[in-house]
Amino acid sequence: MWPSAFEYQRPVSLAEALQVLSDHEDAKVLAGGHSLLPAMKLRLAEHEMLVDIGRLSELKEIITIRNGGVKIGALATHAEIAASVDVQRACPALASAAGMVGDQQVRNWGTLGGNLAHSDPASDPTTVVLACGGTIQIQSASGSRSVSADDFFIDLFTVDINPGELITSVELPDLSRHKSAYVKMAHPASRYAVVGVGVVLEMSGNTCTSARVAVGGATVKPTRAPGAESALAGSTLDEAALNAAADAVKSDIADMLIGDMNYPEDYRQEMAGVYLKRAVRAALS
Amino acid sequence: MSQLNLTVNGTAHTLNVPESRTLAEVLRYDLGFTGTKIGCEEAECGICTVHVDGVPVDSCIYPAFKADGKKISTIEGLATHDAEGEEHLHPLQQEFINHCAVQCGFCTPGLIMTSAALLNENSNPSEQDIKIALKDTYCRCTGYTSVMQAIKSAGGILRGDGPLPVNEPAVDEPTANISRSLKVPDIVDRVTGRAKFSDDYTFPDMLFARTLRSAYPHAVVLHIDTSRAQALPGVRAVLTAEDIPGENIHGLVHLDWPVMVGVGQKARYMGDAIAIVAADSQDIADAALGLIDVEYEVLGVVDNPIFAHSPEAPILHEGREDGNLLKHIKVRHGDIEQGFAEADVIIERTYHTPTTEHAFLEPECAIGVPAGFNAEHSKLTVYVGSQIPYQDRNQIARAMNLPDEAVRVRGVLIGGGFGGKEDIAGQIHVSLLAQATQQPVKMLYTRQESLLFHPKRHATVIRIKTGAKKDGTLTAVEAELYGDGGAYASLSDKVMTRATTHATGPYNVPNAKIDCFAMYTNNPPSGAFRGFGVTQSAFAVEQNMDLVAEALGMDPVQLRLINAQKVGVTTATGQLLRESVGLIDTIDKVTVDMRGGLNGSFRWGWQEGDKAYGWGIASAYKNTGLGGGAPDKSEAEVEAFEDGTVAVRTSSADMGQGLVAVLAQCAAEELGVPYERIRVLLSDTDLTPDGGPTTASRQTYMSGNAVRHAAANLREALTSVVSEEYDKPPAQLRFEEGLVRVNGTSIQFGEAVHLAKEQGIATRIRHEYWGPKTQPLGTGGDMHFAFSYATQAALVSVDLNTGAVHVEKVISATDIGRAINPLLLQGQIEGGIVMAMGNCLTESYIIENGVPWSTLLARYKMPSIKHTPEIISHLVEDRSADGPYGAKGVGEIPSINTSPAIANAIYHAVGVRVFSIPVDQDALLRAMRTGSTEVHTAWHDVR
Repeated sequence: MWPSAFEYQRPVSLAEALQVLSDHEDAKVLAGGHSLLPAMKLRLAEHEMLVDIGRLSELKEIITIRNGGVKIGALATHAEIAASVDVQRACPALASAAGMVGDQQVRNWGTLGGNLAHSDPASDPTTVVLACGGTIQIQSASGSRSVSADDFFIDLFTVDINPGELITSVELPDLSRHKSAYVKMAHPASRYAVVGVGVVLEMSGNTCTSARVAVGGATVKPTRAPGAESALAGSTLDEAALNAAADAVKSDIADMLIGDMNYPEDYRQEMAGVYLKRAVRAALS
Repeated sequence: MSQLNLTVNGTAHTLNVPESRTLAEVLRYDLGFTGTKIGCEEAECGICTVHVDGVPVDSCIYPAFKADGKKISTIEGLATHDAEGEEHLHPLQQEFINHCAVQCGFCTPGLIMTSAALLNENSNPSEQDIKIALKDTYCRCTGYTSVMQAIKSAGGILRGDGPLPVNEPAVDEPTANISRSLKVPDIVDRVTGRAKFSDDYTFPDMLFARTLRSAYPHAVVLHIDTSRAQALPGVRAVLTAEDIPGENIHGLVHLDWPVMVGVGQKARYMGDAIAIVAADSQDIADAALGLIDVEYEVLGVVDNPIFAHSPEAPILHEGREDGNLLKHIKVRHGDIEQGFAEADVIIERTYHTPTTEHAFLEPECAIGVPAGFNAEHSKLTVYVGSQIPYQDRNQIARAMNLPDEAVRVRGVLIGGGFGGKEDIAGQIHVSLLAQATQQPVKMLYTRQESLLFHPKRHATVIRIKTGAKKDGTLTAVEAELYGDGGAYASLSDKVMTRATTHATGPYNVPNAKIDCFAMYTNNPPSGAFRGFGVTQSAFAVEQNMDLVAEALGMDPVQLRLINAQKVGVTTATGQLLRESVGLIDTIDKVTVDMRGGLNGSFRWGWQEGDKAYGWGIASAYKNTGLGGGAPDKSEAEVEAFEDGTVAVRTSSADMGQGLVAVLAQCAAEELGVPYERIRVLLSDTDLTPDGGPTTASRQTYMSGNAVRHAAANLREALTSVVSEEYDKPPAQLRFEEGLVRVNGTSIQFGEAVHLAKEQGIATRIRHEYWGPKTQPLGTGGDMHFAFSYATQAALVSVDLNTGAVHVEKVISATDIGRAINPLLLQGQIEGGIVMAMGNCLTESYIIENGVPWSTLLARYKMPSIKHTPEIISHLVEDRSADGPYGAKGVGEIPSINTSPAIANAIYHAVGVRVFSIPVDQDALLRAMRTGSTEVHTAWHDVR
């Protein structure tokens, strides 16, 4: 099957790309294309112009920044993120999640920026970026802005990006002294997350002083779990605390659940508790 | 259109193509690199994988212009050539051949290119590394075990450690050519991208066709207006039912399926064709479909077989006496009341199995070339990968109003079939369009169209009641089955008959009463699918056996041994089993392995940490051949040449199972000619005699016998010529190693052929092999001429926190009479097991009120390499008297008992019995938590 005909632009610089996007309001940005092209071929989406940003080498860099955190260019691929020593040091949960995305074909071309912009609820990196407290850098022809991951995800497949804007990078804090992990229940066929849970724990001895928890897969968008976070904070992460957090996460996401005939909402809700515990244990191990 | 620069396998190409082209399309259709296959267009199946600057990508969704200026590597470029031009295969290509990791060959280029990328990074990958790298590159034939071995072996060669040994199954008595794992003759083509499937063919002035299908599952077509489509530039023909010169009907057993639904007629499912279009390009044909206006009167939908049988259900096929009842099939044996009166334990339960999809990786494709197109095409010719070329020809001829002989069907390689390529797909439509336009016309279905259109495995409801005495002896089986036949008969009649006659299981059951109702519904038609109905009834039978064993406090193996069919037993259809019943051997081989694996401390179930483990066992039998009184014959031709080579011809189909090798082995064995000198031509209705349908696990037996006898007759003819010429008694002549030997001297086989030709003795011999006579159901006697038997044990783990089920290991033993080609046979077994595992755990073709939901490959969950368990397969060779060298069929038997073995294992692991598949892990978890012992919902059931 052929996608419906489209025009194809390949800007060579960020400035050119932003100008094209500003001139063509309906243009769709093409990064890795693994979500967009199948949708177009199956006529689930139609776009008259694709702007392929694959040549903007300035968006591929991964570097350690002043505060010890890491700045990941929007076009860094999942494979590059998984292999990056900077990401492995500052944000090991993201490196591990990037290694779980799709298969090697997808990891080689799929990008973090594309993943965030598309915001599939079953994606792995989006949940981790939220758990880690990332900041998304966005540019347009008229300027730039940054949005915290807490505000970036709005609804199903909906994020805070306006026409003419482009994600340029994602900044993540230095979590090298934290304990963190991302675990998921993978769909048996697609390996997408039926439920994915990311945790970042600040520890003082055996006591967890603060926690960030994000849930994906089970919810319309990556979702923080404040109840679970307070259940973990101040505890020694013993069985009682884990059980309390598992109960709390189920209420935290109760209004955000999605499901299908294979994995209904209440099953995913239940699994969020199971996988929260697994995530905490993985972070501590 | 823009200019695109690509370097493909080292050669630079510049071309002008539309910007919306994908890389796969440019490679295949613009540059002719047809080794790269397209399986799904959704980046789901991975078989279109090529390397862009060394990095693997799914080329079917990769915009071609993204690769502008880059270096592309495809399967065609993987082998190297030396200064003399000789080809040296890449170690992966070599090891895929050696470990028999290639069956149909359609996914092979994708598997090899994905593996090559892995080995480029890491030549010593762990099993886990391989599973991660290949987890989204599907293969539907092999079951992945051999693929895993081949990759590891190739890694060994690349590292300098050398290859791994090939995992050959043990056989009883190898001869020069029989019970030997000889390579399929064209196997090198299947690993180099040279093998050509339907869509790889192209002809001058070829047009592209598409089909408009019904907008509703049940509706009367009131009006069709094609004028807007006709007016679209580039459209060459738009045809409807009115344009069919012959009969507007087709079907394999019952003629009930319209070629196209005309005005005033009814569409009975969403796949029904309303109009067909041929145009200069695929996208013009596509656009034209949107310009055809159809008015419908929408009718009520019959969405399941039990409702179909009720008086309120709308009738699908008017004028039938039986309404929606396609067929009521009955088995009556002994005295059922007496049987249950004798029973100490009676178990009665109801089971549900789902509609499932073959998901062969090659979507249907047919090419029609009009009569008189050129010297090679004096007749209307259809190129297609079909399981039954002669029936295709007959159905095309009927619709075209031509005599059968005026049509030629030329079979090409088949990218997987599994029963799904028996019915007509686009064969008649391309014939109509080719004749109307006088140009060649190709109709390639998209994956999504393939999912919507072709017949599936019958969803079946099975209520079964089993009675047994305290000592374990079975006394009676009563069963009622409802099969969802879908909109048209296809092979429902035969499939559900097999479900019914096999519903006692492979046991001695003295009293039986089994009723099956095959029903018409507005779902996609159901037809042949590996296992042919027995897959469904075995799921019920084998779980009831475990329930009986539990009620009696008896070991499940013991119960099966007590009741196992053996020589002297009479089946429920009245057939006295006189020979070749290897069931008990299969049970023994499997249980020795199963129990020995834990050093004697065998347990059926146990827990470790967060996981519960359980073993489950199940046995099965499956007929070889059509049976039921149907005349079963295969015709083959063997021709010897003076250069010492031999040609074998029959219309039977090779869809990856390796029939070409089996037939060549039979000819080589009889003529004493080296295997390499045998050429096999299949599936051409002008050049090959009718081998009958490639179905019912019948071709090794039937066409194998036809070739064996033709070759033996040819040998006899040559014997008399040589014995006369050299004045030696015929009994002293030996045909071996390409020679005719007599008492220390010899002549070349080709010389013998030369002598025969000189004397005007025929060196081309046809043989029509008739299988042993069978009787229709209900008349008693032999319903089938042979049965294969199998036992499997599955070890599963169940995650106690999530309900997720994983199959860790499967041990199988299969009685196939004789292994003609042990490695090919093992490939059938491993592939069948993994396919059946999908049937039990994940696969379900979901239909909502007649509207299919599973019309994306992403919505049909089949096993990938990630799910493949460890598989140990033993062969049992209990020879059959009439099969070639004692062989029986193997195509279906491995995929019948895996599902109940897994279900029995789940019960032993967690104490919950699963009555509906695919397994609903959510419901399983709830049951485990609440202490319930039964799950009656399946994965796809909406609560």
